[in-house]
Amino acid sequence: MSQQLVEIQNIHAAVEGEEILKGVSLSIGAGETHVLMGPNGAGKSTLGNVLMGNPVYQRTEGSILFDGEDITMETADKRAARGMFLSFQNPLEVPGLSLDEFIRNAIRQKTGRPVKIFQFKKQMAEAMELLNMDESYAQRDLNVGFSGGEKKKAEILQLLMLEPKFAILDETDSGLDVDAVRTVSKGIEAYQKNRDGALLVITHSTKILESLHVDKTHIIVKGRIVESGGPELVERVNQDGFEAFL
Amino acid sequence: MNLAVNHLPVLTWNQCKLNEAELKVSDSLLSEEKATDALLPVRLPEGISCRRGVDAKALSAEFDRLGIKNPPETVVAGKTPIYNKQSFATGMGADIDTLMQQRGADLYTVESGCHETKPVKLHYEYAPGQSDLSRIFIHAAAGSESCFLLYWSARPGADDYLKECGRCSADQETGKDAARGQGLIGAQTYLCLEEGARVHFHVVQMLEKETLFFHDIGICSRRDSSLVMTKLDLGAREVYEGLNELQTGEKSRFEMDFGFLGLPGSKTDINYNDVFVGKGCEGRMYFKEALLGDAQKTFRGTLDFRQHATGARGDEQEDIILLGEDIVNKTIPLILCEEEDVDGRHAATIGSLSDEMLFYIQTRGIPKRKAEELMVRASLQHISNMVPSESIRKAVLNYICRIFE
Amino acid sequence: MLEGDDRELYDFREEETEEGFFRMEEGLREEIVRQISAEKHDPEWMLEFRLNSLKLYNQISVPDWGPPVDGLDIDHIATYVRPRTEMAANWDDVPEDIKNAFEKLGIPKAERESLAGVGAQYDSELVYHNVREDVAATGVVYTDMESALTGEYEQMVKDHFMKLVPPTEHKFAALHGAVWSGGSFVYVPKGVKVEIPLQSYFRLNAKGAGQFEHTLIIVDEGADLHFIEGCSAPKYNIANLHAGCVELYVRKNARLRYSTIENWSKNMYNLNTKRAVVEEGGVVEWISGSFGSHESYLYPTSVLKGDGSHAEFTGVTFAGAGQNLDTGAKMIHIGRNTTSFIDSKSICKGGGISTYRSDVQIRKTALGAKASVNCGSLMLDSDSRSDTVPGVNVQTSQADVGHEAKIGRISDEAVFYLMSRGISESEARAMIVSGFASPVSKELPLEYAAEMNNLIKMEMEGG
Repeated sequence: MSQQLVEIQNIHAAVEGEEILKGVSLSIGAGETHVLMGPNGAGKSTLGNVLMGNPVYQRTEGSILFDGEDITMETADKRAARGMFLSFQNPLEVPGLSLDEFIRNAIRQKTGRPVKIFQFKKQMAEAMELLNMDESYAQRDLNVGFSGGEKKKAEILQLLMLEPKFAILDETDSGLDVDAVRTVSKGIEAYQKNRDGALLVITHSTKILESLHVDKTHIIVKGRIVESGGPELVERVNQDGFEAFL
Repeated sequence: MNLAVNHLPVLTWNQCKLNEAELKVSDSLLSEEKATDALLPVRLPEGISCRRGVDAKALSAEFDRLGIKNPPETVVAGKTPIYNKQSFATGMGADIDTLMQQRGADLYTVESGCHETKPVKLHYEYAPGQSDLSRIFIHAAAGSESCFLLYWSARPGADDYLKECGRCSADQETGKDAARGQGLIGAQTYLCLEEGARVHFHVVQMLEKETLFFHDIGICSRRDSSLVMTKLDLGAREVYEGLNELQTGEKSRFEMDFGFLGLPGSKTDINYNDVFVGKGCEGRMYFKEALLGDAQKTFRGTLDFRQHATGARGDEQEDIILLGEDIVNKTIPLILCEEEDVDGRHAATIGSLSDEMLFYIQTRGIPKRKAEELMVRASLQHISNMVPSESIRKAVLNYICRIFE
Repeated sequence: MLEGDDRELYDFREEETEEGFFRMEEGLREEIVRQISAEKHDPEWMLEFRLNSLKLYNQISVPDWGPPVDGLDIDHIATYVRPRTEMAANWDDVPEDIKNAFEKLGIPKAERESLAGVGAQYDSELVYHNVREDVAATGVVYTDMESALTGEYEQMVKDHFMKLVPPTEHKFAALHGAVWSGGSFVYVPKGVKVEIPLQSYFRLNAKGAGQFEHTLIIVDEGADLHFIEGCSAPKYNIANLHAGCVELYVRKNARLRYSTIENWSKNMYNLNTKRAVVEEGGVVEWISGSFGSHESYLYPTSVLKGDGSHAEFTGVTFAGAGQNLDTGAKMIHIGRNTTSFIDSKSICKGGGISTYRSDVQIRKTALGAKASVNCGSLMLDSDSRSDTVPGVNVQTSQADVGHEAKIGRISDEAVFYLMSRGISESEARAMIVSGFASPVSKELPLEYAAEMNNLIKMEMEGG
C-alpha cells in the first residue's frame, strides 16, 4: 500500500493541564473521507486543533505525519502551506479585512505570486454561487455581522478557494438549519470531487453525512478511538446513539 | 518655546515620565508660519455658516454666550488642576491656548433646522516644511445634524517619503537630526453640541514625514447630543493629540475610533479624556495602533466619572500591535470615579495578536508576521471605511499598501 | 475603621507608663540618629549608613503625586520607642501588658496551631521570636534584624541591606535608612522547603510614634517559603508613622510567598516600601490585604531579573471613612520569558479614597515577556472615590501585555437574588464584597482568610 496522506500516531494532548486525548492513532489516505464521531467532550475538536497545531492545545506525546513528513512541531501556517485546512466551529471576526482580501492574501501566500484578479473573481463567483452566498459577502468584513450559517459557508468558501489536500471540518453542521446543511454539503462534495481532497469530518450528528461519500468512520470516547469501521457505523450511531460505545 | 501639554489628570510616579509631555516649538517655525492653505468648501450646505478670522476675545465671548463651563475641580491628592485653567477645556491644555492666542478662528455654526449628512470637507494641504496654525470652532445648535471632515495631507509629489520610511527601506534613520526643514502644522478644534445635536466628525492626517503636528480638541456635549468621531493619524514625525470631551448633558453620547500608525523614527503623544458629568451619558473610545521600527508612543486615556453622573457608562479599549524591534510603547489608561452608579471599563492589549486570532489566520497559510501586518491594515481600513469620502478612503488604502508592501 | 464595638478588637490600647518605656526626643536630628545607633550597638558601617540616609532624607522632597502627607509632622514623631524589655523566646517572659496585646490579636494561639515561627514586634523592637525546632534544624535562620546585624550573619546583612531599596529611592526610604529598628531576618538554605508559614506581627502601640522595621529575606536556590506579615495599631488622635522596608531575594528556582494583612489604625501614615528581586526560574507571590491606615503608599515591586522568573501580586484594598489608600504594584521585567500577573481589587465606602496605581515595565532585554494586569474597583457609595492609574511601558516588540480594568457597583440583581434566598440585605452586600475580594482571601491560610472576611464584614457594617 502506498504511503498514507495523514498519519496520526499515538497522540496525547491536554488543555490547561487536563489530558483530553489519551493516545489516538489514525491514518487517512489521499482523497479519503473519514468521519470522527463521539459524544460531547470526547476530544473530537481537540484532535482537529492538535492536527492543525493550535498552541492552546498542548500535545504531550505522539506525532503527526503529513505526506510522509513529520509536522508535529510545525506552526499552523506551515501546515496550511503543506495543504492542510481546518474549518472552525467559531470563525473569528476581523473588522476592516474583507473576505475577498483575506482569501486573496492566503492564495498569494500559498503560490508566492500575485493573484490573477480576473481568474480569482471568476472562481470566487462560482464558489459563492454553489454555496448560495450573495456576492456582496466578498466585500464584507471577514465574518463581521455574519450569521452562524454564513460563517460556516464562508469557511467552506475558503476551503474551495484554497484547495487543500486535506481538510478537517470541525462541527461544520452544528447550529445550521436543514437547507444550510444541504448547501454546505454541496460545497464539501464539490471539494471531494473536484480536488480529490481528503477529509476528516468531525461531527456529533449525522445530518451532514447523508449526501457525502464516506470511506471510514471512527468513534471517539473519552480521548480514545473505541471503534473504527465503514460508513455502516454511521447508521449504527444514527439508530442507537453513542451509548453502545460508552 | 517649550509648551507643557497633555497633562495626566491624576499624577503618577515622576520617573514614569507620563505626567505631561513637552512640545518644543522653535520660534523660527512660528515666524515662518503662512496663511492657511486650506481647500475650503466654496459653498457651505444650507443651514451651515462660517465666520472667518474670529479673534481670541470674540471666541471667548462666544464660549461665554454658550455657557461653556468646566466642572468644578475635585480636590484629590495628586490631581493637577488642569480643567479650570482654560475657558474651554482641551486635551492638550492651557499652553496651546496661549500659542493660539493670536490666531483667528473659523467659527462654523450649524443651525437648528439643518439636517445635513454630507460632510463639510475642510482640506488642508501643505508643501514640505510649511507651517500653519489654525483654530476651528464648530457650534451645532439644538437638534441639528451635521458632518465635518478635517483632512490634512501632503501636497502631491511631496510624499515620496513613503518609500523611505516604510519598513522595507534601509535608510530610515536619515530623519533623525532633521530639525531643519521640519514644518509645524497645528490645530485647535472646539465642538459644542447643543441639546439633541448630532455631529459626525472625521479627522484624517497624512502629513509629510518631517512634520511636527498637533491637534488639540475640546468638546462640550449637551443633553441627548451625539458625537461620532473617527480619527486617523498616519503621517508626520512628531504627533501630539489631545482631546477633552465634557459630557455635561444627560444621555449625551460620544463614540470614537482612533487609528494610528507609528512610523519608524516617529514620536507620538496622546491624551484623551472623557469626562462624565450628566446622568446616563455614554462614552466609548477605541484605539487601534501599530508601531513600526523605532517608533515611540505615549498614550494617556482617561474615563473620568464625576459625582452625580448616575448611570454613566464609559468604555475604552486600546489594541497595539508592535512590529518594530526598537519600539517604546507607554500606556496609562485611567479610570477616575466619584459616583457609585456607573459602569466603566478599560482594556488594553499590547504586543501581537491574540493566540486565537493568530491561529485562525495561520490555518489559512499566512505566517505570523504577515498576519500581524494584515491585521494592522485591517484595523486602519476599518476606521478609514467610516470616513465619508471615497477619495480619502482610496488615499488611505494607497498609503497603507505602500507602507506594507 | 469603624468606631463601633468590633473596632475594639484592634483598638484596645496599652497606655504607656513613664517607667516601662524609653522614649526618644521627638524630631529628627543627627544626634538622635547617633543615639539610636549607639542604643542598638550598630557596627560602624551601619552608623555611617544611617547618617548618609539622614542627609538624603533632608534633601529629598515629599512626593507630589500621591495622598497628601501634610498631616505628618516628622518633627513630632518619636522615631524610636522601644519597650524596656529584652527579646524573649517564650511568651511567659514577655511583659504582661504586651503579651496581653498579642493574646488579643491571637498571635500565640496561631503560633501553636499553624505557624513554623513567629516574630512579634512591639513599637520599635521585637519582643518575641521563636522558630520551631524542626524548622531550625533544616538550617533555616529566622531572627530579629539586630541579632543578625551584630551576630554571625552580619556580612550577609551588609551585602543585602537596602541594596534593593536604596535610601535614594524616596524620602521615606531615606528616613527608614536613618532610623530603622527591629524587623526580621530570614535565610532559607538551598533546597529547603519550609512547609508551614513563618510570621512576623508588627504592633505599634505608642502614640505619635514611628515604626521602621526592616524585613530581609533570602530564599536560596530551589528553596521555598511562605512568610506572613501582620500589622495593627490602636487609634490615637495624633498621627503615627510606619515606614517599614521589606527586601526579598529569591534565588534561582526558589519560591517565596509574602502575605500581608495590614490593619493599622486610621491615624497611621503607612509609607511602606517592599521589593523583591527574582533570579532565574524563581517565583515571588505577593498576597496583600490593606484595610487600615489613614493614608497608605504601598506598591510591592518585583524585579524579574532572571530568565523565566515569575511574579504575582494579588491584592485587595478597602478604604473607608477618612482613609486615602494608594496601593498597587510594580513589575519590572528584565530577564527573557519573564511573566507577571497582577490581580487587584479596590473597595471604597463612606468617603474613603482608594487609588490603584501600578507600573509594568518590559525592558528591552525582556524578550518573550508576558504581563497581565487585572484591576477591579467597587464603589459602595457616591461619597467615596476610586481611581485606577496603571502605567505600562513596553520596550520590545517580543512581549505581550494585557490590561483590564473595571469599575462599578454592587448589582441590585445580585443583592435581590441573595435576598430571595432569605439573606438580609446587609448580609447580602457583605457577601458580595467578600466574593469580590476572594482572589486574595482564597490565597491566604484559612485563619487569615477568616480574619480578612471579618474585617470586610466590620467595614461593611460600620458607618
